[in-house]
Amino acid sequence: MTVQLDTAEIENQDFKFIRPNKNNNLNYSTELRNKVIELIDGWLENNYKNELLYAIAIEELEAWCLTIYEKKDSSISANPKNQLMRILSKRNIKIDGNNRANSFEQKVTKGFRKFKKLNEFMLYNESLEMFVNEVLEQLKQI
Amino acid sequence: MALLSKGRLSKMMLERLEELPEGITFIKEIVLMKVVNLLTFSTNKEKGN
Repeated sequence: MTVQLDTAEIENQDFKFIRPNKNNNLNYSTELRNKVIELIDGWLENNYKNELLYAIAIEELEAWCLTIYEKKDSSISANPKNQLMRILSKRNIKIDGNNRANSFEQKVTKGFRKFKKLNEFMLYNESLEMFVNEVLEQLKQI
Repeated sequence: MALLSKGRLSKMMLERLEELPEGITFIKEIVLMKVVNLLTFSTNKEKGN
């Protein structure tokens, strides 16, 4: 089972959360991800630890999609959602509610089709890389 | 792949999804499904299954 959580604005929710220090902290993404996992495990009372995959996006999952379109670190994008929409608009990728097989979402995420490509995309987003490694690790144990 | 959305996990977090532009909300689910399925497929292929 996959649990997905974006860290954007996480401190503004109605539960207590303190981010790790970001300035000059090379381990910021790892520390933040670990804190979020700790939080989720707490909510679930550590009941499903070995059955969960933690898709923790720092700061938004749209930053993972950005890696398909931009060859630069997407985790430092100020607003990945807007940046993604801007790129899609330039490429004329639009919402087509009538075409489910080739929906907007399918078109946007088309890049996630080849393992080789995914390995490349991972280089541009650490939280994507951490998720991929976690999934691979879990799969090895099956 | 079962997907436990953050909405189901914690209602208050679902509010953020409502701010997303139309069409982008489900990208999250599709990204996760594609990535996990791709990794599963590649791993199985490697194992020779």
